[in-house]
Amino acid sequence: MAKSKGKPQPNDKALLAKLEDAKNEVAQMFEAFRKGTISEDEFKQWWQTRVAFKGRGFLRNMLKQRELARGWDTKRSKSS
Amino acid sequence: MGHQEVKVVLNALVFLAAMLLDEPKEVSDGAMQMLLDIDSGKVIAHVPDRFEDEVLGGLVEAISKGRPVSAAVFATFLHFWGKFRIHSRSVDWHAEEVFQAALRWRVSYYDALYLVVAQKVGATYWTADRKLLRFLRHHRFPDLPASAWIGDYR
Repeated sequence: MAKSKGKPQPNDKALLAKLEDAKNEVAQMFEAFRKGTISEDEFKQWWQTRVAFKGRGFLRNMLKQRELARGWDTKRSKSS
Repeated sequence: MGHQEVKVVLNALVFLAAMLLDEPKEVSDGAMQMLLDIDSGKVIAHVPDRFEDEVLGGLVEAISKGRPVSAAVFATFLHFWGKFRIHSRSVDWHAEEVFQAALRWRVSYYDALYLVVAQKVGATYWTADRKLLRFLRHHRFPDLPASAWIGDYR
C-alpha cells in the first residue's frame, strides 16, 4: 500500500491508551472526593496539575466570538 | 415533602472556565464548585446537545493554538457528559423556537438555545458572560428564565 500523509501515526494507540487511563483517573479522583477519601486541597491540587491548563486569553477570545455572533461589533456601533 | 431539585443550565464557557488556570479566580472557583455539585448530584445540570460541539470545538482550537491540554481534560468532559441531562434537537428543542427566541431577545442563536432550554426546564442559566447578563437585565424581557454570572455561584 502506498504511503499516505493521512496514515494513522504509531502514537495513536498510545494516545487512546492515555485517554483510557485518564478516564479511570478522573472517575477515581471524583469518587474519592465525594466519599471523603481525599481532602478538598488534595482534589484541587490534582485538578490543577493534571486537568487545568493555561488558556492565555482563551475565554476572552471565545466571549469575543459570542459578541460578534450577536452583532455586537463595538467598533461599528461606535461609528454608527 | 420531597426536596426541590436544583436545576442549572451551563454553557461550554462555564465548563471550560473550571479548567483554566489563568482566568479570574471567582470565575474558575464558581465553575469548579458547580462541577463538584453536579458530580455529587447536589444540582442537576441540563444542557443542549450542541454543548458537546462547543466544548470539544473549543478544546480542538486550544490544542491547535498550542495550549497544553491533557487527555484528562477530554476524560473530564466524558465524565460529565454522562451526568448531564442532554436536550436533543427536534425532540426537546426545535430550531424554529430558538430562532424566534433569538430575534425576540436580540441575542445570538447560541445564547437563545441555552436560554430556551433553561426556560423549558425551569433552571437558572449560568454564564461567564457578564456583558450578556447586563444586556438581558437592562432589557427585562418578560419571558426570560433566571440567569446568573458563574462568579457568583456558591
